[in-house]
Amino acid sequence: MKSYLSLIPAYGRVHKKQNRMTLLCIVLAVFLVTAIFGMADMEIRSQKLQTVKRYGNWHIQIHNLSEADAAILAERPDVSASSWYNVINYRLKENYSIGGKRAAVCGIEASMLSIMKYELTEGTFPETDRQVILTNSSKAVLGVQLGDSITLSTPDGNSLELTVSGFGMDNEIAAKSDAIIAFLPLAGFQSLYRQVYQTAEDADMVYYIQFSDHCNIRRAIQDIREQFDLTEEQLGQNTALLGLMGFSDDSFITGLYLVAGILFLLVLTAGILMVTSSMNSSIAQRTQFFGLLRCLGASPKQIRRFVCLEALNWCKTAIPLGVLLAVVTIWGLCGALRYLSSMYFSEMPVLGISLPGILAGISVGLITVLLAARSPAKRAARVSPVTAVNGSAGVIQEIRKAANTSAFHIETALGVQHALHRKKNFLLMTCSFALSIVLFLSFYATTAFMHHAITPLRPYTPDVSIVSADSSCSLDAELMTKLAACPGVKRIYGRAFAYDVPAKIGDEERPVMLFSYDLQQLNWAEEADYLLEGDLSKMTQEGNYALAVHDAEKQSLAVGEVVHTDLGDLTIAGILSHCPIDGVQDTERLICSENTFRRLTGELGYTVLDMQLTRNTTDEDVNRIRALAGDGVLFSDQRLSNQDNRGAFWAFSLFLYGFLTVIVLITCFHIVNSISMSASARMRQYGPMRAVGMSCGQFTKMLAAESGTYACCGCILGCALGLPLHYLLYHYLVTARWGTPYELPFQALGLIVLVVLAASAAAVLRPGRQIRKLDITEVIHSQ
Amino acid sequence: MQLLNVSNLSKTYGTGPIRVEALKNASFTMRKSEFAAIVGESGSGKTTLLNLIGALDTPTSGHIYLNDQELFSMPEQERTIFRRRNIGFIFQSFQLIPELTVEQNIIFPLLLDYQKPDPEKVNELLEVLGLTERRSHLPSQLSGGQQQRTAIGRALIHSPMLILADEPTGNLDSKSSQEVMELLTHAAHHYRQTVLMITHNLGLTAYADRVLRVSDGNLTDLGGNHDEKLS
Repeated sequence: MKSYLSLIPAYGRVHKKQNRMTLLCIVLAVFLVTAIFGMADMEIRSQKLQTVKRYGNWHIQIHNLSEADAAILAERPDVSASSWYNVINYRLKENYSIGGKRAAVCGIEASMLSIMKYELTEGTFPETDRQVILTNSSKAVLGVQLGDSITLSTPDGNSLELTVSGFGMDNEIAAKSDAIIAFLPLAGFQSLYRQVYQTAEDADMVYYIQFSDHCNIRRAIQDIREQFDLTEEQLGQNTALLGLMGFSDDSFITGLYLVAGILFLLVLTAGILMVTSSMNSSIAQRTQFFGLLRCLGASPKQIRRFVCLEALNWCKTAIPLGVLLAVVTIWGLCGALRYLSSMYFSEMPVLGISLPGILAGISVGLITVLLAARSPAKRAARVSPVTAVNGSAGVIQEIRKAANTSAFHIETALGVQHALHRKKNFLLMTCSFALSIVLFLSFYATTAFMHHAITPLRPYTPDVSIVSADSSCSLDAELMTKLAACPGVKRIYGRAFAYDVPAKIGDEERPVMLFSYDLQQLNWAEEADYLLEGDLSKMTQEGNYALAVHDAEKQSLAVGEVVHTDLGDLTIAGILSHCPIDGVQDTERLICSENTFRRLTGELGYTVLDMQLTRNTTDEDVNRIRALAGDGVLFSDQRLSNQDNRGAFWAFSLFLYGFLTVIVLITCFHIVNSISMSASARMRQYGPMRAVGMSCGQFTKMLAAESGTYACCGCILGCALGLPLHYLLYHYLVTARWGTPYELPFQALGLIVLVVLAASAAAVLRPGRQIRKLDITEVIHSQ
Repeated sequence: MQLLNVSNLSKTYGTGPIRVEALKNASFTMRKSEFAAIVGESGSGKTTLLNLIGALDTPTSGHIYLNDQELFSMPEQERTIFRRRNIGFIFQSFQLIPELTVEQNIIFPLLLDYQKPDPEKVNELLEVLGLTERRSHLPSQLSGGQQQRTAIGRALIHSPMLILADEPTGNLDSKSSQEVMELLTHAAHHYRQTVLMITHNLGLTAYADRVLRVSDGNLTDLGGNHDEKLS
């Protein structure tokens, strides 16, 4: 032994069992932090790649920018790439076509390819105005190769001969809409625009900017806004990407940051409390040992150093273990996510190492242990040398109030008193019990977010859809009957649409998109709890009733409000949180019954026929449906994306519920461990009680009373703190976006309270067994 | 009338080379209201003997009959209750429950038995112990002598047949020691309880009716009031 501190490893070797629990607490705290942060990091990395793939790697877009201003912007040191861009016929509503297929035409510069992360799989960027890049799938659809000519038909009846200079990656929107996307160089695009729209003016282009990696994007955006005096309308942002990079000022994304911050603090606090209470108990068990050290001449400072170094000694094993466990868990989860949904999580690294997660875990482990060791170290240093001599474990002096034996049986009174008499310990234990509930409820709020954000399982989601080519109500009931009889069709339901119906809502005039719901769709709205307010039964009654759809960005209509449309007045019977149609800016979505729609419009057919298919439907069955629908309609097969969405949902569920399970397990472990350590710390006190005649049953009851006191107080505090926090998180994650009103999470609350109570009850079993084996004589005579 | 019968009691700790015979075939009896002292050097086996008689520990062989009941033929739960009702303990380091007041500590064995204490008896005992004024105090607020008197009260409250005292004066000054010894004698003679006390202080054997000596695990009965012999 070189110094008194060499006692630490020697003591550790002898008291392996005693230290195991504290070690496990540190491992779990490090695991919790590393796993949650690491997984969040992986998710953000994957989402970032996904977002870049989907929306491009641009950060802002500026409308109506002059060439001169664009040139100044391009020279800024914080701008890594910029390009002009625009698209004609984005919504595929105009008659642009290539080889009979609907077409959208994009005007781009070469730099836009890198900004959009759009890779050419063959060929090169167009060198002349009459060259074009097509998507890969066009090769099969149009039967063209590099250098072939294609004809772009335009709405003005003219056509334009173009030569294919390259092929690029397939575009998801094009594939879904069965359309061709053509990329023209800027000059060719402007020439086409001038020709089609018979104007001498160029098309208004949008200027896309990608900032360099290490610049403060938020500050750069503000700077550009001020420098060029840009209005809100002029400046667009890639909200999803900026959000993932932490630079978004979108209110919803800011809300998500707040939620992430709160969850971060909660996990951190859970780790600190877990380790602190464990170390406190460990010190309490060894009061006499520290008294002995003091007796032999150790100064309080040396004792403090001893406790801190001992804690760091635990870190040596616990931190690598916790990190390793978390890394393996992250790998497992990432693998599972990729397997379950290749579309959503294809970019997720399977064997990725999250440095931020690991650093967070290590620093939390170290800081937590050092912080947690401070208080027990002080306590240990305060132990009087007399303690070692007379064995009074420092407890007697601290008690100020006697147990209440008149209200309870003696064992219950003592148990409650044990829990309450040391305020600091009581507070620590109650807080750590409460924190388990708070942590669970807070993470539970994210499941509501998941149910709203990833929704492949909406009752109305179709597998295949047939849409009227001209968006009219041209799909008749006869087709519906024929389709319903096709093999594989489980359910068919239609919606008729009246677009851009002029209407007066309040004092404001804005168009309405009116569409019909059959009884089935109304039932789904009720069963899935989409009705935010109002009464769905009115929809089947006589009268012109309609349902409005909640839109966070618009002022909602009120139930009972009358919307005056050119088709007739509609009374709002209710507000729905979800419907199959996405919101369109400045247009109100109103849903009415089929009867009301027919009465108002005189139309008897449908615009959309949605079908849900049976599980064993084959591609031949789907082809038969497609053939039956004929050529004059748009056919959309969503089976693959549904399957992927479903996978994404389950994958995300696995992720979130996995963490909830981890929280529950850690809660159980922590409670069992805390009670067990608290009992171990008092074991010397229990000896005389057993000697005087306390039975093992009474002892267990006494422990149950102590554990129950912590559990009850913890549950009350947990509910008092957890429910408002759950409300706040729910508001930021769900209500602010989808308008779904807050509901108390009775099931989750019930579950976690039950877990806490059950774990508290189970926690007394081990000490109960210990006391049975307790050598009373040894305990008594060691004092 | 015979109350305690210890027959061929042995206790061995460990096996093989670390085997220690703490007590070897000890046999003796005690009658009701007898006050006996056990003397012997440290490590001689006297505490082992007391622990076995108090059913705190189990013997390797032999029997203990208390009021004709064999202690170790009972299951653990039954033995605990038997101990609670029939044996009172007094320890050198008092072993009071720190969360309970003097009065609560005294009535503790009754509370464990879910019995309602008789207030008159409690008051009388407090009076005898000289703790009436201190009845609501916590152990931490008492002197060593007062704590030990409280412990004696706890041992007397349920009128056990046998009181086992392990160096009850070990942590006390001479005045408090005398008070404690007088209380124990009072218990034996006034309440007709049997007292078996371990002591290192040979002077205290004067209070005992009988003295037993334990040496290297062997018990020798030295008979009654043998101050001279012991010294």
